[in-house]
Amino acid sequence: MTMGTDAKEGVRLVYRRFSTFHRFNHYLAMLSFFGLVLTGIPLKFKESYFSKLLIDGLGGVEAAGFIHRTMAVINILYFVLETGYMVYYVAARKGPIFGDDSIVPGKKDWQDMKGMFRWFFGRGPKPALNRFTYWEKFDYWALFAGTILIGGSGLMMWFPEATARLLPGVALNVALVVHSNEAFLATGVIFIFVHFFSAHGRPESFPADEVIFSGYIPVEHYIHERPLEYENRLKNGTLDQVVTPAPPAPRRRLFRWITGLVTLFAFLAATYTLLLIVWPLVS
Amino acid sequence: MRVRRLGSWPPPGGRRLPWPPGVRLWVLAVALVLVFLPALAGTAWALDPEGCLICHGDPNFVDPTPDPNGPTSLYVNPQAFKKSVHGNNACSTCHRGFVLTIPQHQLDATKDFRQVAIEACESCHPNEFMQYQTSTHAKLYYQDQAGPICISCHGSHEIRRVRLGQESADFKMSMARDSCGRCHKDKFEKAKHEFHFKALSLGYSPAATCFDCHGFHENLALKSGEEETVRQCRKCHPGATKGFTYFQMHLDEGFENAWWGVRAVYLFFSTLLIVVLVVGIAYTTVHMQKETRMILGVLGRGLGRLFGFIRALEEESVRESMRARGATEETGKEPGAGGDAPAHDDEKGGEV
Repeated sequence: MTMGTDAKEGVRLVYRRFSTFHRFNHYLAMLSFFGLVLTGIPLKFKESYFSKLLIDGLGGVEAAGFIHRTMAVINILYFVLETGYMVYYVAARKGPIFGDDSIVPGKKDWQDMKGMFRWFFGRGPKPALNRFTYWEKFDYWALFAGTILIGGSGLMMWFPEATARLLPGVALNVALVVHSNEAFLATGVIFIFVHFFSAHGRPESFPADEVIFSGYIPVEHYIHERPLEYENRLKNGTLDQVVTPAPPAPRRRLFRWITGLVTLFAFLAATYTLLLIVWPLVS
Repeated sequence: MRVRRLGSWPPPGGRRLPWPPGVRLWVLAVALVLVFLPALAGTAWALDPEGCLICHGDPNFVDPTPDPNGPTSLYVNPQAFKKSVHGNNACSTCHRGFVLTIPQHQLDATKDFRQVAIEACESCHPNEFMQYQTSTHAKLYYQDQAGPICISCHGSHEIRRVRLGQESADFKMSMARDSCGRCHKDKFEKAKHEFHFKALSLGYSPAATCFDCHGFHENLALKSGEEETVRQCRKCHPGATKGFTYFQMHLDEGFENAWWGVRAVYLFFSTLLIVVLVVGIAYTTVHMQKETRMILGVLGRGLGRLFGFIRALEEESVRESMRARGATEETGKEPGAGGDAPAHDDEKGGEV
């Protein structure tokens, strides 16, 4: 039997990693993040030539502000959806909260990290990774915490008069500091290195990991990338739950196109953001 | 009737013009004057009916009185003046109380020139003058003549024309920088990082600049928690309350003059930013070099295999030909038992 094909029927098999709900949330997160960063970072680097270029291109500060607020609503929407799902997951006991299958960090992540560092410097084999790696958990929870901070401070500044009715006006100063710094941090983490590299830029998935767009990866890829989860599922007989025949070719092509276009856009956006930040430093 | 005659002008049938030759000459002369007079007058007479610019329009025109600080320029740029809001006024509209004598004007020595200047503005702008009278600027001026007067902010011969409430973002920014910011440099430098100014510098003209809050001529001090401040905030933020005025406007970049809470939050997040970025970049670099080496390794192995394959093909063809030739000579020696070296030997053996 060749790897990745069903012995009986001879069809290609895929590993279904993300449900429609989670992919939908990633699409929302991605869209709102691009919109927010591209209309927000120019405010921080207001003296950069590229800030003015983009703001004028979008149709002025008012248009940029409108886009920023629209994207903020989308951002809050996916945050509410994701939090709602989390509450539902815990309340309805959909699955274990801790352990191999969970996004909650555990002892294994610490060992994996040590293992990866040993591997980086050639002192050991690459650790067998589980369903969610430690860098994926970092991405997820950093985004979660960041959304609370940035979203909260953003709402305060969106409704300054209401905020000032509850808190002294100096709270708006604090909100601006939090919003500006935390958003810049998030941009750095997502755009410049951690997320774009660790999720999409590693040789296994370069230039983009299609799995978050389509929901599945070829089974052989999965076995290579998540050996521990594969082993576990093989042992307890739950492999059938996640391995299915590949979708028809037009659907696969569609997701390849989406992934390609998003990657191109992401690359341009990241380049633009870097230019914008670097410009005041060099000019 | 008249309309019809005009409509059929020139008269049909080759009729002569209805004017005798002497009148025609006059008409020509008057027309010539009418055409060329505005051009002549535009540069000299209409702009400067009093002839002041004959001397003051010369860029090198200076006060001849000996001055240890060097000569004072008395030049007025005619083009810039013409473009200014007062471009159609005569010089003497504002410069009153001068007795014209050449070469030097006699000044009314009993009055300070600044007082003359204020009075000149007051004669046309009494309301603005009354507002100015209540201001801290005026108080300082009347105390020891050190405070700014009208021309300190507005300039004199190049006052721009603006429509109140429709100023461009660039204008508002340049007012803050060049007018208010000339004396209040520290305040401007601080306000520059402030939210309203960020929007202004990106071209959002409704955003407030100095005078939108502090007033044009009253220059209100605007302390937090005061009724007056609430009133000023409400011009743009109708729901502003007393608490709203505790927003801190003129903060420096490191928030050193801010409330300690703002500074603490700023320091915390700046540290977090640096730590996360440094650790993140270091981690990614380490991870990347490992993966890149792997890519190079795969690539290298691939290339090695490719070249090995080509070489193997060549060897195979040599063996083929050897076999073809060797079949006729001897059959005991079969190639391919070893690696490269035996194949090589075979080739040599064939030649010998």
